[in-house]
Amino acid sequence: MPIKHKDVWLGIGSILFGVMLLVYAIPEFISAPSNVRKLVLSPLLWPTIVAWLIIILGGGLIASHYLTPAEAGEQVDPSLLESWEDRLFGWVRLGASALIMIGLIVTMPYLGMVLASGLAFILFSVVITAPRPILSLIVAIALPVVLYFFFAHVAGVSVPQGRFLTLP
Amino acid sequence: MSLLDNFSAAWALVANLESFLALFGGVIIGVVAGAIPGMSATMAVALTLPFTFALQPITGILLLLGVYKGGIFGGSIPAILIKTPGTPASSATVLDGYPMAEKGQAGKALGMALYASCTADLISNLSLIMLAGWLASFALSFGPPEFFTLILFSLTIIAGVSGDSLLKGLLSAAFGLLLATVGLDLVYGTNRFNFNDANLMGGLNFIAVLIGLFAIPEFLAYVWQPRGGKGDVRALGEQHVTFAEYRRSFVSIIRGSFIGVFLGAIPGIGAAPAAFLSYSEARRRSPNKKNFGKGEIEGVAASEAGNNGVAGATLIPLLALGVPGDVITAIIIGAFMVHGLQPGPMMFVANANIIYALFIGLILSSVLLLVVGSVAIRLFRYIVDVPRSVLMPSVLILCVYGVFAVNNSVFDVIVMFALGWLGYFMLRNDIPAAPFLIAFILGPLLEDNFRQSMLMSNGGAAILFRSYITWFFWVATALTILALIRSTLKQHAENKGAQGAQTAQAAGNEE
Repeated sequence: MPIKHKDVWLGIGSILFGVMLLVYAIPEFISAPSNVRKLVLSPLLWPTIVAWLIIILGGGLIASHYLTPAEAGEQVDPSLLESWEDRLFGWVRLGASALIMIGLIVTMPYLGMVLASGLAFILFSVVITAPRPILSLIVAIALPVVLYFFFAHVAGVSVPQGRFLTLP
Repeated sequence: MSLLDNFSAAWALVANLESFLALFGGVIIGVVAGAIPGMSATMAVALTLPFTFALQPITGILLLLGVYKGGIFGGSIPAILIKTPGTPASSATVLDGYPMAEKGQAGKALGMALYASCTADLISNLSLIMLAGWLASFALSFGPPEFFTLILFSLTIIAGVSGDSLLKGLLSAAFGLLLATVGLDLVYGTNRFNFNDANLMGGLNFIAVLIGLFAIPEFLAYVWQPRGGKGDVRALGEQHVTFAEYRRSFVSIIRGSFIGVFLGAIPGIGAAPAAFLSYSEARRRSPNKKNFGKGEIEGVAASEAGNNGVAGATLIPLLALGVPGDVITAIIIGAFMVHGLQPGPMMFVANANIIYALFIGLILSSVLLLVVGSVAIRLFRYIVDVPRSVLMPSVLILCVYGVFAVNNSVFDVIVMFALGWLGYFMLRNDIPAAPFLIAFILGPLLEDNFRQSMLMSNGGAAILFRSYITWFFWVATALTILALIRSTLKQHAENKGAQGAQTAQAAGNEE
């Protein structure tokens, strides 16, 4: 897909998002005091300006697609130059990364930051099939511990400890 | 306090082992990060920021400035040795640096890059010292309307960091402005997009947003394609730069330094245009102009002087007006805020000792850069060999600890990941992240000063045109927008011309 076609979809998405802001999100999630007499002083003013800006710029992206002549050798999305297998594995790795990130946040209160982040490091290394697994394992253990000691003992941050591992 | 009093108070802040080590460590981190392709100076400054929380304000800010200075120079090492600029600012260095490396003169090119960088850095720092105080004393008379017009003008920075598409840059900025509205309203204290969640009452954490936008997308891009190749590293060679060669390039270095200072002091232009302008001026005036692009040492000197001349000068609008000159100084503003300091004209009154301590530290950083740079050149082969399969997950874990440490909040880590995925979406769709961050920082300032002005005038717009300062910024903003429209139309006409020529050629081929 040429990059300019992507711009049309971005433009359409932006317009829809801007309209959603104006019609639903701004009236629903921004409260303006009833005693505000002038619009320029209202908390609604700035978000409304930004919503219109998003709509106008979205329209601009679509317009620029139809008004700008195609450049010599029009750019194609580089990801589409990869084979379908590369793209499939790429999406699988991204999906796995999203799950690891969610898992890191969910398990942090139970496992503690050191254990959860060390585990996340190992899982990321598996996802990217790290060519030096022993080195990755050493860093996965050492890095969270070093960071724990810096932030807990030097910076005075209360790093979550978890139920299974309590560090001094 | 007199100038001398300020300097003696500042000296007491800087002349200690902690500050020296912070600056020294910062320069090392910056040079190493700048030298690793895929790590940028911006990412290095963002990742170092959480480590400054435990430090004294001056020590923490010196650490970040060291990373910034080191990062700009570090980018020139891979530009010369593997034809891959470590930072966009080093793109011009490739033009003559890599041909020199191909001729076996990499050591000479890197030596000149280092000397030109340190000379330009020193000139830039001296310019900062001379100009920032003067500009701040002028800005002391600014009220909300003047600041509103100044920040509006500063938002034209976005044009400079928008990359190929101004429209996408502006769209990115609009989303940054939108995200900045989250939290309690600045005047009435009512809810704005905070869904009655206590975590969102104060708005989104700046550090979570910036690390999410600049570090996580790089990690995800690596996850998408973990087998990205590295270029072949050229040998340093036996030849080293001589004093005669430095003297021959001296005029280009000085000219490039001043081009960097001039462009760096204007918010938004950045180091890359300064490097290219300095390079093209050197080529235009040099008696060896035919050698430019084929491995001319003066070309390396000019481009490095141009990009390093910017580094000190971008701090002029930051310190004097509280407006970031580029993305890295936008991050450094965050460091000031974390330590309870608000850059701007009032800082020259309330925290003059810190300002002057920064000046001393910056001068010292030029000397440290010379030392660290000359060692890094020899160690580059080892730096580039750091396996990315270990580096990138380490960056992610650093991000998690760093963002959590700001407020001891898991919510901030969630925000960072969410912004990271948004940043990755933007990366894949060629939407630049820098306008998003700049608008996120400047948005609340713009709105705050606008509404304060409106409160002062009871809603009358005339207050926004009350002084010659506001008029100056209105005219400057209008001229910048006109220049942007002109350059866009010019680009449009050039594309049309190229398309016409291509059609004619295709027709000719068919015949």
